[in-house]
Amino acid sequence: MNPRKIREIASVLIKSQLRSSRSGGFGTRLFSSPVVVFVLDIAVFAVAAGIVYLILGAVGALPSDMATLLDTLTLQAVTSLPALIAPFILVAAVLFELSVSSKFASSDSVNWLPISQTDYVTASVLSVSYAYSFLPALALGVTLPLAARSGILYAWGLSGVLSLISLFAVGALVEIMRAAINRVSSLVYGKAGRGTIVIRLIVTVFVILVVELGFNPTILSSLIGSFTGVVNAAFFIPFFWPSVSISYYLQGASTLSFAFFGMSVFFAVLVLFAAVKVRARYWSPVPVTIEITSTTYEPRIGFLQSLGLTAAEAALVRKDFKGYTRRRELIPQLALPVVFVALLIVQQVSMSASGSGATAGNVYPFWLIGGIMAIIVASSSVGQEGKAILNVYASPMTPRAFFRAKLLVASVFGWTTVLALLVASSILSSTSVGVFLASLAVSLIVAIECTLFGFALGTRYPDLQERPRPRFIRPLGLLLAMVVGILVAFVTALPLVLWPFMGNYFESLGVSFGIAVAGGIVFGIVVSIVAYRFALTGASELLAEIPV
Amino acid sequence: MIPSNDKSAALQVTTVSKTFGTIRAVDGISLSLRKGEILGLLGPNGSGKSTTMKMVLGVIKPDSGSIQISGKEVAKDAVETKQTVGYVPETPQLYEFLSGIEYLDFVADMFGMTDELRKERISQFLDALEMTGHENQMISGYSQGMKQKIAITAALMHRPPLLIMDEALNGLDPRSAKIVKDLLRSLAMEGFAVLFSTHVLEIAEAICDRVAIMYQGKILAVGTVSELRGKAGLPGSSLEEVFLKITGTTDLRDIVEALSK
Repeated sequence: MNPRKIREIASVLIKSQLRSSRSGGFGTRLFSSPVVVFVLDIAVFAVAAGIVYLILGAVGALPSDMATLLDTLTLQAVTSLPALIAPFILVAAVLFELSVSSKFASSDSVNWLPISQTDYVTASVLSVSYAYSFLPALALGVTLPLAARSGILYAWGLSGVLSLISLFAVGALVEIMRAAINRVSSLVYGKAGRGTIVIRLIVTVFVILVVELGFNPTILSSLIGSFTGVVNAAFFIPFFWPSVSISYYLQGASTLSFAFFGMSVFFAVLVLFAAVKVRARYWSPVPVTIEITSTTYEPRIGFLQSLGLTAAEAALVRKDFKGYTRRRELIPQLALPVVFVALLIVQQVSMSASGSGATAGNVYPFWLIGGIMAIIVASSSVGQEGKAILNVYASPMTPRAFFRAKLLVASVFGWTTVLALLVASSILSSTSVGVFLASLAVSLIVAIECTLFGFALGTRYPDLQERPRPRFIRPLGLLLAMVVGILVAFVTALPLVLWPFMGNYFESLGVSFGIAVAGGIVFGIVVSIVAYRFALTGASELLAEIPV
Repeated sequence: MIPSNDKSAALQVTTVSKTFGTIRAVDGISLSLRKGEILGLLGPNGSGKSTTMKMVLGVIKPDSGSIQISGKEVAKDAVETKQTVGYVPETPQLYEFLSGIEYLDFVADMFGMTDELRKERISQFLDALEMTGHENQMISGYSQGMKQKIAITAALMHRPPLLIMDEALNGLDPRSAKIVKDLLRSLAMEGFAVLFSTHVLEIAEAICDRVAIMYQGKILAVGTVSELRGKAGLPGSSLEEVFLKITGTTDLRDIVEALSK
């Protein structure tokens, strides 16, 4: 291992994350240095600690039962902090870290340099850990004043150190996931052919699904709840060893605490070692040739044109759908509806098992899930073109045609998600026809709103740069799309959200459920009209001149 | 002298400028390209050739000046003028997850080619450029030269009256390069206009009717190679010597000596 080389490679990987714009403005320059992440971490830590400190000061002395409850919660938070890092980062990793195009994943850009696999993998792990360091910074900031109040500052310090070790271990796990997905690609590509693309798609989605379910916070929380009492349940799960160490420390069992501390460090090193080993297998990739079909080319009018799309629009739609099934960086987006449906099924089954009788239509926010899905796909639909967007600029394609094609692709994702969730829910639970139809109507209109806003912001903040970890939309654009989209979605779905709690009140005012839902839909239609114009002007502005 | 308002021109560029931040990429250039003519844009890296070509294509807006293709203003109707242009970029920017044939089908759809025509043209180009048998493979597995061949096919298959070719022969094997050069000459004979940029002076000398030398965003000289020799006062010399004289970079000995130490 060469620390200087590791530092240099990690720095390059972090810069590739930070530098999404070539505009050269003040903001771009400010956020172009890796140091800024550290500064932000400190700021997040300080602000979080300050706010909690002020709140505690304002509240003053608590009644003894409340004080005891707060002490217990603080104890649980400090103990479980290192264990909670894993699920959060793995969820983020599926969306942002596994989306590495094959162009960069092959390591062609680095493997000619005089660096070892260990140097590269360690640097990559550090860069992932560094990118998500704001999470422990935030959590440690929130818990510092609480730990000081409860007199467990040493345990908090231990939790901080172990959180960083967990962060590193999760970073190495992400590297292994990348290697696993690459390995799947190599294996199936060795045989080549259209079927291999389908196999890779299914296996990749399966890997993502297993990780998402395996680290589901709902499942984990029941385990974490046992930390301060019986820790035995967590003995066999390495990601819980840091929490076990803290728990033993708080119980005064220093030797056991030290042992689990050592095992946590050992586990992090072991995962890194495994990551290096699996990465080494595709360090010098063999060029692969994939034969999509062996049939003779025959032009034909497709299904899309029979729906009224022009040849150019249909071509763009077909191209985008092929991208979602063939591009490694887009497959996680395709996996999201599957993950959402699987999570719904797990939740429904656990609700049934626990005897909870809430109807899914009221509890599970289909409209929100479909809306978020629509935002993610629509907002990234422009940026995912990458530098090949030059093809669109060089062709006689009108902004309206571009808009229609992109809108159709994103809508299909949003609507499919909503429909899959609703169908799964109605099979698993006794949702009434009324609630089902209302949920369906609201969810579909929310998906339209979110698609339009997502696309509008995707055209204004596209990230067309091709780099190891593409984002497709600049962070400000994604933030705005999420805030605006979720806000209008929430207002549109307000009747669904409020009725379980305030239905009787509204009915006493003469407002029926149907009228309330219709009101939400009318609001959604008005917002959609505004968003439509916003999106169309976005397409016109985008295609006026290629972003340099 | 550059004609300022030539009605028969396939392309008319008049006092066009473009600035990126503090960099003046193109500085008030004017040029005209007649139907049936191949005009070579010659210049070192960063001289403004690619920016000029992208402005002609209509994907970059000039800060000032006007560009007309067959008498139509590009700024006013970029979509219509693009229908009449074929473009080969400096680096092929293809959808790498598509197969070669899927990509060409995509481009044919964009330009509204009929089924019969696209099938015939694609087949002709694939055969000529020795790509038959590779067309169903994903582009991500192609070599640089194969990508270039697909980009050239995509630009030429709809037979646009104006071709914009930015370093189009990069990465091509000698046979394919010869085919493309001969094809361009043949198309020019049929009345097609070609704007062709290159660093390779031999290529410019071999296929261009006229050459425009660009340097630091300006056109320093335009004319046939023999006219440029005359302007440079170097009759009988190579285009390389003419180019270095006109761009004021003749004495490279100090640089070479420094590098070889």
